[in-house]
Amino acid sequence: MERLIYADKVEKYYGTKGNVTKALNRVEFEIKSGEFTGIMGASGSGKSTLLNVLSTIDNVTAGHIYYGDTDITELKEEQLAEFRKEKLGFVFQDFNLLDTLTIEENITLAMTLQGKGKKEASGRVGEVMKRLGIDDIRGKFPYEVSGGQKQRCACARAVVNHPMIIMADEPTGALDSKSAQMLLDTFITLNEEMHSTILMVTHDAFSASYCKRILFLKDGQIFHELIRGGKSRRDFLGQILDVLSLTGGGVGNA
Amino acid sequence: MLKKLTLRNARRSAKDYLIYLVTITIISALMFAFHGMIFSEDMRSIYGEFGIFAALIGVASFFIIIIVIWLVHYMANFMLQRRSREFGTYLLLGMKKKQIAKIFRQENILLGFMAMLLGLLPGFILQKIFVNVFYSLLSAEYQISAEFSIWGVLITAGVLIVAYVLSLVRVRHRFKKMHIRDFIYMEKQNEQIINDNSTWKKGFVFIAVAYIIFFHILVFKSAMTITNVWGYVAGLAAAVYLLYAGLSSVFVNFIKKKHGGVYKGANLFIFRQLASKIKTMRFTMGTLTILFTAALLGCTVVIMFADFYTRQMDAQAPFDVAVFSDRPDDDFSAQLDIIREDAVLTDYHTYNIYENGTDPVNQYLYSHTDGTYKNDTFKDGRFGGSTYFGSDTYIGLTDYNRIRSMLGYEEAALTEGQYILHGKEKVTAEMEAVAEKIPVEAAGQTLTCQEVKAEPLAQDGMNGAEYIIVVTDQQLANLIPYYSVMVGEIEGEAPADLQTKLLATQDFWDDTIYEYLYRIEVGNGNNQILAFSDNVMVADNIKVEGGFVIASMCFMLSYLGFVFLCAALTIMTVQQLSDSDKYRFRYDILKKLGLNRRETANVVFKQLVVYYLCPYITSIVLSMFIGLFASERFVYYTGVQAADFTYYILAVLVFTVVYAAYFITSYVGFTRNLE
Repeated sequence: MERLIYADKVEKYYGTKGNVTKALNRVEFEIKSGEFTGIMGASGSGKSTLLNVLSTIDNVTAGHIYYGDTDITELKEEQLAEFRKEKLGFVFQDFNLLDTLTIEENITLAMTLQGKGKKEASGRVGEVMKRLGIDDIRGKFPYEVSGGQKQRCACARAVVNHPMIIMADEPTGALDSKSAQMLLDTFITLNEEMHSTILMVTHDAFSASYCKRILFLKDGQIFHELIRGGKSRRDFLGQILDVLSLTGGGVGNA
Repeated sequence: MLKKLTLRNARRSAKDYLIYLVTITIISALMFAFHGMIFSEDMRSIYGEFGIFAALIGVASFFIIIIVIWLVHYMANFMLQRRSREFGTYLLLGMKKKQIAKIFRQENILLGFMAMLLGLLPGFILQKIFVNVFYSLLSAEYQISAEFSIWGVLITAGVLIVAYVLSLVRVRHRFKKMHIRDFIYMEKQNEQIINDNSTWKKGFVFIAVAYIIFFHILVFKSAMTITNVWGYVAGLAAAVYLLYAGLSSVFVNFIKKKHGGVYKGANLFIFRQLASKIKTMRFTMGTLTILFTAALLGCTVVIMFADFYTRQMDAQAPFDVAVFSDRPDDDFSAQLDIIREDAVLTDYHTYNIYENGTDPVNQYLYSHTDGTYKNDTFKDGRFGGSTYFGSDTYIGLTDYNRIRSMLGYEEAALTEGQYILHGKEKVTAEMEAVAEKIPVEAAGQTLTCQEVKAEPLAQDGMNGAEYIIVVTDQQLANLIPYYSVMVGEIEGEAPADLQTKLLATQDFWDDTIYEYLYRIEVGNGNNQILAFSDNVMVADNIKVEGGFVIASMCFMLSYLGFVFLCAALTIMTVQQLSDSDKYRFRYDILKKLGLNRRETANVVFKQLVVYYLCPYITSIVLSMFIGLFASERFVYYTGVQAADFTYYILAVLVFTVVYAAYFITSYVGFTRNLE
């Protein structure tokens, strides 16, 4: 598999002169095309910051992030907007759907913003919705559907433009266990059938066990990595829990 | 797709910020009404020199643009903060900031447009009502007409568009400055509660209160001049801001001192809530208080003028017609012919006012009255008008009693060697002083004052200026005829153009120096606020003219004050309503702690009452003293004797009603949001 993302000694500091927090401390790793990677860590470990800098929401203090040959830390704001639009898909804990648009329109907007025509958009949107099982609620507004359905809509919106990678920040955080499981199955579908690359931040071991590879973050540094390989999900979950117990179990998310 | 998004967003904003929409609708309805009146034929037909009304409304529109800009700008910023996450999502989806700013601007403009459309019909109805009020103020009959002016609509639209464009011009800049991360996390930042435990700032309150007291002492002592008053007023504004800067600390201090009241019911919660709210809102609260004070003072002035108008007219023009001539031998035949042409003259009298070549009374009045002026301009040996005549003015008893009887007053009797001093009601005190101190002479004989009279007698240059000395006919024989006057009574109402026609018979006006020029030194009386003295006074005509000016002023000031009030209250209300959304969890906790629905509503009520009362009470206290002082001065200058308080109380009543309406909206909305 080819290398998709390369984070080169990424650092991110917050705060002022007298009081600096090192949110990321020389983080270095790579993500290959088609991977389903998880990032785990305790509250304050820097996992959301990592996702933010990878997804251009925040900028790095030092270091570089390469998408293929492009160094996104060198891009200007306008270029970044263009980059996000074309290369990235987002799924957030609290859905971030536009409440004035219907489920279908939320997904369509992502396409029309890229200048795609009505015909192309409606065909593709219909296909994705069917695939993710939200076909029957297409005309409803976000407040009329369940959390799980909202999140699947967010997923559909994220994949509809064939992004280079999908960034998911605690996507199951606001869902009940059944909806969470359905969503994770959706991720598997996206990953295995549609060959999407997914990067998911989570503090929940169950969610993480769906990933193929997990990076563990502590105090802004990667301190461990797990690869599922041929293991069953259940075994993998056990392994994750073992690692977490090493960190002292502090996995609560603030 | 983006159009659909913009449209739906605007619709949602209309629902979320209904009170804002309603206020803009009210403002545009008022604008439609007033601008419609500018172009209304009904209004034009009531008074020829209609331009003054248009000019006043123009001035008001200028201020209203500023108010609307402020309101729209505030609301746009407010929405921007509240919806930052949504804008963050747009950015994540790959929209450019320019695009988002455009959507946001369009949404706001759409809202404004919606409000404008909604305001059309109420505006049309209001216009009819206002014209009706105008007619009835001028005691004219109004036939309701369906006339509609497209110009009024266009001007209102123009004014609103200018205001919207100006207030949204910086939106793009704001978007440009912000980073995507700020958008996504701004909401979380908003929820940071500023709970400061420091209490040192409570000193600000004492400084502010001290200054306000100092200011009022200056006002009462009339120690301010027109040049330094602005400095003091600026200080007052600063004191208001300082007051709010310290008020939060006062609440905190109160809590820390652990007074008994703090631990009663949910008071602890209310105090903390208020301390935090006032701290974040101190600048806005200060601005609102200043605006409220201005609106209240505006209202006071309006009511003062309206009252002044109704009382003043009869005093200034008691005769149906009065004509002045600077020649003692004028027989007024030219004027009488004109009057007889268009009207039925039931009674008239021509007579002379006399002089004695001396001016001790005028001298005394010049040096003992405020605001007098002596005009030196002369050309070809002619004089400009002054406050008093060049010599003291006398009238004979027969002429005096003749004109008294025309006005229905009882005849006066005069003993030889004495005189009657007849002055305007407002100068009674001065008249008594004159009677006591100034030796009045006629034909070398010093007379004593028999009495001072004060019925309305056209004393703005007709029967003397401010006063006239009445002497017996025997004494009159030794005085010199000074100028002549004709007064008359007309059957029914005077023709609308009589004043103009009569003025055309006179040649006092000099086009080259823009001044009335007379053969003698003419006194026009001492009317500092809205004088209608003229060389011809046709009562019915003047009432329309003067009434028109005053009614126009009243309309303009109430228009402005009302718009001020609505805009300011909208901001307060929207703030509270959004809080009820944002801090719902706090009330949830209270409920979980065992507060039932009624008790929660009670907590909300108390909290809102204190919040709303802060600017209310402060602005009333501030405006009360200034308003009272203004009323007192007004009475002093106009001689209109009304109870000083009434003007102000009425203004406060209007203020309170509007205030209460917004408070109730806020309370109902708040409790509904919590359920």
